[in-house]
Amino acid sequence: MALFRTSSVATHENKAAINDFRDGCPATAVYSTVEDEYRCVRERVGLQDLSHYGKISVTGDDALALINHFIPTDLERLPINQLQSSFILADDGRPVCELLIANFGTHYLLLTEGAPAEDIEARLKTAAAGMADAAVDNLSESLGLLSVDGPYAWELLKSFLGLGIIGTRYLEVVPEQMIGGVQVTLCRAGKTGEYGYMLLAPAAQIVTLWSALKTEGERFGALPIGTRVADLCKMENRNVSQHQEGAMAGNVLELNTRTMLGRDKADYVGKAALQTTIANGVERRLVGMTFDDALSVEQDGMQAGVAVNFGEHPIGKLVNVGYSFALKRWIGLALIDEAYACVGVNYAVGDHAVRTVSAPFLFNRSLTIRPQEDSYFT
Amino acid sequence: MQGGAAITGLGAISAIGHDIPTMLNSLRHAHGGITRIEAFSTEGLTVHHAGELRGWCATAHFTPAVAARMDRTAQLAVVAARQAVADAGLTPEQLRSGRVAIVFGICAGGIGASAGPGMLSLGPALASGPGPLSDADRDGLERFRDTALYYQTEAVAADLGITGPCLTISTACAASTSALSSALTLLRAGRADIVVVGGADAWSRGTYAGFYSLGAMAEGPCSPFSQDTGVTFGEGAGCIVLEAPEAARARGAAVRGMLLGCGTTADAHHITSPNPGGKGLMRAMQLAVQDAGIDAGAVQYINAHGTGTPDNDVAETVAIHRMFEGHEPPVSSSKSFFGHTLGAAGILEFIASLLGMKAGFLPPTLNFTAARGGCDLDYVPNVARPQDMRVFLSMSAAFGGVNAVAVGARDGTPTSARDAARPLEPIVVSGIGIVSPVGFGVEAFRAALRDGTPGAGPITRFETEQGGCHLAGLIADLPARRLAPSADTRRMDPFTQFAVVAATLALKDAGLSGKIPPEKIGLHIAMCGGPSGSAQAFAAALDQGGIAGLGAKYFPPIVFATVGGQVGQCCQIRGASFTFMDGAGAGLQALAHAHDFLQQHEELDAIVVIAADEVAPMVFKMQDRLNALAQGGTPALYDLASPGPVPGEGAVALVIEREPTALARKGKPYGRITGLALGSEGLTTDDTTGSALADVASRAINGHSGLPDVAFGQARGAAQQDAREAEALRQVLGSTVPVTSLNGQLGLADAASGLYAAAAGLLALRHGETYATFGATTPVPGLDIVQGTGRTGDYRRALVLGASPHGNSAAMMFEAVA
Repeated sequence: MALFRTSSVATHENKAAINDFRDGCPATAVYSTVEDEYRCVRERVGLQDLSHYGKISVTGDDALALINHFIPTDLERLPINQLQSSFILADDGRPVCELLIANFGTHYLLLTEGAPAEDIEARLKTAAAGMADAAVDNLSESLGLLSVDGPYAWELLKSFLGLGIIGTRYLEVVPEQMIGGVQVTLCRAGKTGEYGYMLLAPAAQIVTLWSALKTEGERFGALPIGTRVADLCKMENRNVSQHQEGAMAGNVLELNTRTMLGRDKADYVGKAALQTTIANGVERRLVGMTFDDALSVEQDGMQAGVAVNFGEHPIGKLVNVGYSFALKRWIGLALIDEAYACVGVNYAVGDHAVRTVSAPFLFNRSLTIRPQEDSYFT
Repeated sequence: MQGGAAITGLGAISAIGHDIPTMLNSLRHAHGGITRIEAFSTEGLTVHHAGELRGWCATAHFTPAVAARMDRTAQLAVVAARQAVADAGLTPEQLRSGRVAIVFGICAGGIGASAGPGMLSLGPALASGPGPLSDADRDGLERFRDTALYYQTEAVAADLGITGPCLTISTACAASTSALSSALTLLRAGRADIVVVGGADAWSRGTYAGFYSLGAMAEGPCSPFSQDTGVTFGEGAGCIVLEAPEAARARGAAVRGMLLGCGTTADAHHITSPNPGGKGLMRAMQLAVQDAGIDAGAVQYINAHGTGTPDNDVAETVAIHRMFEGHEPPVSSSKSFFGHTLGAAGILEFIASLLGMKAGFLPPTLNFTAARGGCDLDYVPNVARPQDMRVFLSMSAAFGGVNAVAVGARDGTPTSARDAARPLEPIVVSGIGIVSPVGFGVEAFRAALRDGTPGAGPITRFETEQGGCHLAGLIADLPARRLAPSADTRRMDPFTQFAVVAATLALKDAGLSGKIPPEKIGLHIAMCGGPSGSAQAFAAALDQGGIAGLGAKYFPPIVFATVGGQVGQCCQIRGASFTFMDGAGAGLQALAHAHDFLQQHEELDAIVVIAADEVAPMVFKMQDRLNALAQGGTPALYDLASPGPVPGEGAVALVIEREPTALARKGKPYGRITGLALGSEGLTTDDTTGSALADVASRAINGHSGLPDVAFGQARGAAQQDAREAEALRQVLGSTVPVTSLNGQLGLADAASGLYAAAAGLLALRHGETYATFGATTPVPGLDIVQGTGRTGDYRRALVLGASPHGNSAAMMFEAVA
C-alpha cells in the first residue's frame, strides 16, 4: 500500500512549500501567509489543491448497495449528476472520513477526506468481494482535484465556462467542461461557506489546469490556499473536519452534523452503535465558542485538547481552534458534556473566558452576492 | 400530421384592444394599455398600474343573464375563442364533430363575483347549514365553484359546442405556451383535426395581493430589461385555431402563419425563481427549433417572457446568449403593452409576434430607458421597428421552473422534414407510486384492495357537525421524510407532499431512482382543486392582514405549477413539465397526453404522471352545502338511490416509458397502453344516456382483439353520473365484463381517481385479480359489477375510464406485457 501519493501542484508551486501531509499525501499548509490566504477565500477567490482527497470509483449493479453499506445517509434516490455529502463510519459509529459521493449514472465517484484513500479502498473492496457485481477502483493517483472558493469563485470560472456557471446548483455535477484546454468535471461543492467549486481532471493535466486558474485568477487577486486556511474556513462555517473534531469524536452523532441520517435504512456499518447512542442519548455534543476578544492572533497556547471548564468542573475539551480574521477573535469547537452543551453560556478554556455560540460563526459574503448583478470588478 | 400546424384563426382581447385589428394598430404605433388600476382600490399601496381592459361590456357579448353569471375569465376566453373560430371560418357542425379539440392555458382561474379570492366570502353560506340554502348563498357558492380553472375552458367548449378533447393547462405564466405544445401533440397524435388553443386570465385583487406580497411588482408601468424593475399585471385572452396545413388548404382556409414547433423543459431549481444560468430556457429553445425543423440561425426575432423582474430578465438574457452564441436576434417584451396576463401571456405574445411578422415590423419594448445590468441585447426600445421577419420565437418561463418556447413562422417557411417514417413505439407503465387512504406504496395499496380495507371514514381533521356529510378518504400520518428522503418535505403543504412522495415511490418502483438523467425525464401533473388548504390559508392571511400585510409565504404554493416545480426539484426532473386541471378525468387526461407526448419526443426516455387531491375544510363544506356529497350515509355505487359520494385525497404517480427502452434496461412493466380516447360534452349536467362516454370507451377499445377482460369505472355514488357511466358501459361492454370502481373504498379523489383506477387495472393484469366495488349492494342491472369480494382470472386487457361531472371524459386500454 502506497503511503505517499504525489501532489504535482505542490511540487509545481514550490517543493519547499510542502510542509504538511494529509491522508498520506504531501500537502501545503500555508503558501504565503494565513491572513492573506484567508482574505482570498472570504473576500475574493482562493485556489486549493485537493490532491489529498481520495477519488474512488464504484461500478456495477451492486455499486449502490456497496456504498450504502458504509454510509449513514441514503444514496438510493441521489439523482444523476448530483452529489451527496456523507461519512464513512466505523463499526462503533465513529466517522472514518468525510465523503462526497457523485452519481454519474454509469458509476459513483467517492471523494474522501480524512483518511488515506487506500484505507477506504480496502474497506470497500473487502465488502465488494461478497457482492455479485461491484467493482472498486482507486483513481486517486490518476485523477486530480482542485477547488475554487470565494465570493467571486463563480466569476473566475465564468471566464472559462461562460454565463451558465451561475445557474449551477449546490451539489450539482457538470461533466465535460473545458478550462485552459483541460477537460474537467465541475462539482458545485465546497467546505468554506462561500461559492465553492471542485474541479476533477486527469492528474497529468492538473498543473495545466492550476496554472490556467492562477493566471486568470490574477485579475481577482486569487491566491493558492493551504490546509491551514481551508481548515479554518471549514470551522467558521461548522463544516465537520475529520482531521480535527472528527478524529476526536466518539461517534458521528456527537458532531451535530447537518447530514441526514437514514433511520429507516437497511443495515450499514455503524448503524447498531448509532441506534444504541440514540436510545441512550448522546453523551457529548460539539459546540462552537468564541474567546475573549482581547486575545491577539499571536496568542500562545491555543490548541486542541485543552479542557473546557464550568467553574471548577471540567465539562469537555477543545477539539479545534483558530483565529478568525473576519471576527477578529479566536474561535473554537469543543466536545461538551450533553448537559452543558448549550449556546449563550460562559465557560473557560484554560485561563481564557469563552462563550458558546450557535453555528455557523460567520455570515458569508457570498450570501450577499447575486451573480446575475454583482461582479468583483464593480 | 408530423410537422408544424397551420394557424387559420386569431382572436385576442387585452388592454391594447378587444380585437385583432385594434391590437395590431396598438403594437404598430406603440400604444400601451397599462393604466391606473380601477378594479379595486390601491390606496396606501405602492403599485397602482395594471393592464386592465377598458370599455369592456359583457352584455355586448352575452345575454344579461349569462353576463351576470359567467366568470370574467371565462367571458374573456369565450370572446377570444369566438373571434378565432370566426376568423378560421369553422362551422358549428365542424365544432360539434368530435374532431375539434380545445386547449386553454389558465393560471389564476376564475375571479368570482368579488374580483378577489372569494373563499372567505363563503363563510356565512357555509355556516348557514344544516338546512336549505338561500338563493343568494347558493349563488355565492356556485360562483366560487365556477372559479375552478377547468370551468373556464369548459365554458368555451360549451359556448362553441366543441365535443373533442378538452384540456386545461396551468403551468402558471407559461400556461398558454404549454397549451400550444399540447395542441401540437394532439394534432400530431391524430386526436383531433383542429385545435382551438388559447389562454385567459382576468385581473383580480387576489392576483395583485399575491404578487404584491412577493415584492415583484413595478411601481409604475413595467419596463422589461430596462432600468426600473418589476412586473405590471394585466388581463386578457388570446386564441388561435390550429390544423394540419394540408387540411387547412383543402378546406380553403386562409393560413395566417405557422406554429412550427414547441420546446418545453423544467429548471428543477427553485419554487419561483428561474435558473440564473438560463439553462432550462436555453434547452427549451433548442428543443423548439429542433421540433420546428429549423436552424437557430433562422430565428429573426424573439418575443421574450420579459416580466421586468431582475431574476427573469437576466436569466432570459443569459439563455439567449447561450443559445445564439453571438448571433442573438432582436428581443422584445410585449408585457410592456398589456402587462403580464398570466395564463394569456404566452398566447397574446405569440399573437403579437405573428401580427408583427405579417405586417413587417418587430413589436417594441415600451417604457425602455437604458438597459439594466446583465441585460445587453437589442431590446427594440419603444418604437416598432420595420423589419421583414419569417421566423420568431415566443418564450415563456413560469413559477415552478417551467419553460416553454413556441416557434412561429410564415406559411411556406422551409423546414427539415420530421422523421415521418419513425415508428411510434408502444408505451408501457413501468412504475407505480401510491399515497392513498388505504396505504402508501403499490404493495400496501394492492393488499388493501384485496383485503377490502376501508379508506373512507369519519372526518376528524376538521369539524363537520353542521353539515350533512361526515365521511372522507383522508391521508393520515404520511411518513413523507421516510418515503422521500431526498426531499425536504417539512415546508411543503400536504398536497405537495402527496405528489412528491408518490413520484418518489413510482421512480423507485420503476427502478429509475438515480438512474436517469434529469433532462431525459418529464413530468405531467393532474389536479382538480390543487392545494386547497394552502388556498384557504392564503385567503385567511389576506383577510387578516390585507394586501399590505400579506406574508410572502402564502402565494407561491397556490400557483399550481409550483407543485410540479417542487416535485421536479426533489426528484430532479428537468424534461417537459405540464400541469392539467380537470375533475375526475384529470389523471387519465394527463396520462393520455403523456403517452402521446412521449411517443413524439425522443429527447425524453420517461415521464412521471401524477394526479393528486387534497380534502380541505372550506371546499369540502362548499360541496357539502351544495349537496354534492353524501348526505347522511355512505355512497352506494351504480345505485340510483345513492345519497352521494364522499371525497377522498391522495396521489398516484405512474412512470411511463417506451417499451423497448424499459425492456432494454430490464424494467418490469405492469402493462402497455394500447388505446386511448378523450372527449367532452361542454359543461353538460343533464345527460343520462352515456352516449359520449360510450363513444370515448369504444374508441379506446377500437383496434383490439375483443372486449377488455376487466373494466375500472368511476362510479362514485352520485346517482346521475353513475347511471350515465353504467349506461355507457352496458352499451360498450354488455353484461359479461367484470366492472369495478374504487371510489367507494377510497372516496372520490377527483383528479387521482382515474390513476387509482389505472393502477388497479395494471395490478389486475400483473396479478390476475380484480377488486370489489365498495357500496355496490343494489347496483343497476345489466352490468357484471364486482360485488362483495374480489375475483381472480386471466386478465390480459383492462379498460379504465375517467369522467368529470361535466362530461369531460377519458378512456384507456391497458394490455399485459408478455
